[in-house]
Amino acid sequence: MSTDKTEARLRVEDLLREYAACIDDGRYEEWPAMFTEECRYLIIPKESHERGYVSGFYLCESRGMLSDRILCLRETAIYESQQYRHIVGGTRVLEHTDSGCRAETPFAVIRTTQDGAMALFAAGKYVDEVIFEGERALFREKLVLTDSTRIDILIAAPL
Amino acid sequence: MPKSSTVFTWPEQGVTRVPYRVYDDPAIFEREQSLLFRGPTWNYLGLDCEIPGAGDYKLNFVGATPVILCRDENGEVHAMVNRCAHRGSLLCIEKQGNREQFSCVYHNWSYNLRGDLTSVAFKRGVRGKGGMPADFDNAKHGLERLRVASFNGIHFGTFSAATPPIEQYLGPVMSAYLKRAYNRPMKVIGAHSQYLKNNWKLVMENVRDPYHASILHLFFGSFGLSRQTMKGEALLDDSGWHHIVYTKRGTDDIRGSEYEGNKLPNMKSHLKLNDPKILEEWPEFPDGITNMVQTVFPAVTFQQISNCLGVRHIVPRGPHECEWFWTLLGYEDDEPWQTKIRARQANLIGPAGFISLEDGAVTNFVQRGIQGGKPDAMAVVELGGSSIASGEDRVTEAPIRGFWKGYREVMGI
Repeated sequence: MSTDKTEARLRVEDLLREYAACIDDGRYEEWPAMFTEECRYLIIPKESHERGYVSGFYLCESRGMLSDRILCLRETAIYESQQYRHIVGGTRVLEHTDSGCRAETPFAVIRTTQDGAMALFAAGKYVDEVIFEGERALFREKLVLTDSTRIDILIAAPL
Repeated sequence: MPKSSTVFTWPEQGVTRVPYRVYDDPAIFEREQSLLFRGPTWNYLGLDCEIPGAGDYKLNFVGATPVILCRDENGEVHAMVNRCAHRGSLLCIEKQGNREQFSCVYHNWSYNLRGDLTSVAFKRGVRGKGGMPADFDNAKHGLERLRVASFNGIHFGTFSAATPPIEQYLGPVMSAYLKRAYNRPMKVIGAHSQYLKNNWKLVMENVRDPYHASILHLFFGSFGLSRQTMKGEALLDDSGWHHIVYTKRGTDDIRGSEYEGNKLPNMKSHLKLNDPKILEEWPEFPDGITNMVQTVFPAVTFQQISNCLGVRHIVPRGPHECEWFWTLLGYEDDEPWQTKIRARQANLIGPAGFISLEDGAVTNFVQRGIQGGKPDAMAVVELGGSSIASGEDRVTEAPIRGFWKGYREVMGI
C-alpha cells in the first residue's frame, strides 16, 4: 500500500493528538508506548540545536528511558502539581515513504499551577520521524525544539 | 513591600542565623549591586571556548549589570559594561557573536574591542554647524571596563581595584580543584537558563548545602548516587567564601545508618530503572570523585556529576527573581561516545533534571514561606555547629555559613 502525503499527514496528526491528550490528561504511563523501542526524544532550545549542542532538558534513547522519566516523575521528583494544555498546530510533512515520514508541527503549552495561575509555558516545534507499522504510527525520533532558551522554574512532565 | 531602613544589624548569633529580610528587601538588593557585585569580588564572565577567536564576544551580567566579554585582535580578553557611554543604551543585543567593533544603534557611537570610543557620529557637525564641543575628548568617554582575570580558561571580572589577584582570592585548595577539571580546552555541549522566582542567594545557599542532597533529591538516594555514608568532604578555603562538596560513589556501607531498612521516610531504594543507561559513566578523574559541586563567591558554581561537567551562574533579576544560566561542557578532545554519555547524564541536572528539578521548587517555597513574617524572623543554619571549616562529613551547613561570612564582610553588615 503506498502512502500519499495527505495520508501521511493525517496519520501524524492523529498520533500528535493522542500524544497531547495523553500528557494533558496525565496518563503519563501510556506515553512511552507512542515511541519505538529504540528511539530518541530530546527537548532542547532551538538555538542550542542550531549551534550543534547535544545537551538539552530531556534526552531519552529508548522506551525504557522514557518510562524511567515517568517513574521518577511519579516517585522521586518533588514539585507542585501542574496541568499542561497542549495546543498543536498544523503539521507539514517534509518527507514520506510507505513506511514512515518526517514532519514538523508547531506547538504551544499552557501551564496551570495549583494556585490557579495560567501562563504560556513553552512554544516551539516538534520535528518528528514517524514510522508506520500496520495500523499504528510510532515516533522513532521526536525533537522538541523550544523557541526560548529559558525555562520558567522547572520542566516536570514531557512537552 | 515595606520600605527598609538603611540601618541593618545582623543577628547576634552570627552566621548561624540568616534574617529572612536579606532575601526580600529591595534596599538590600540595591546595596548588593554596589557593595558586592561592584565590590572586591571576582565575578564569572565566561569561558575561553565561548570566545575562541579575535572579535568573538559573549554577553553576561555581573549582578544586574550587563557586560560584554570579548577577545581583541591580539588575543587579549576584555570585559566592559554593555552600555553606550552616550545615552546608556545597550550596545550589543545578540547574546554571542563576532564583531570588529561595537557600534551603538541609537547614535552610532563606536567602540573598539577594548572599549575605547573610536568615533562619534556628526562629531564635527554638518557643514560647520552643530556637532560636539571642540574640546570633546573621545578618550574620556570609553566604556566602563572591568579588570579581567583568566584562570585555566575561565574568565572572571571585577569592578574593584581592591580585589586581590585571582589565585589569592581562590586560595590553594579551590585553585587546585578548578585546575583539576579545567585542565585542557573545553567545548560547550549545552546552554540554557532557568528563571527562578526567588532571591539569588537562596540558590547559592542551595548549591552549598550538602544536608539536603540525599534527602530532597530522592533520585540521588534511591538509586545510590550520593549518600551521606559515602566518602567525601565539605571543603572551604581559608576565607570561607568559596566551597567544594564532593562524594565518591561505591565507598559506603549503609549498615547502621539511617539509610538501612528505609528509615528515612522518603528513600525509595526498591525503585529500579528500566534502562540504566542514564547511569553509564567512565572513571574520568584519578581521584575517584563522582559528584562535586564547587562555588566561587559570589555567584558561580562549577559541577561534576559523574561525567556531566558544567558551569551554573546566577544572575539576580530583582529582589525576588533570578536567572540560573547552565553551560554544559565536554573537552575538545572528547571521543563521540564520551559526548554521548555526557549528554545522557545531563538528564540528571538542569530545570528538568532528575536531581535538580526540585531545587527550583524548594527555593521558591522558601521565598513564598518567608512572606509576611515577623520583621526579625530568621533561618537557622546550625548543622555542624557554628564552624566555618572543612570536614570529612557532609552533615554540616558550614559551606552556607561561609557564604554568609563573605557576604557580611563585603556588605559591611
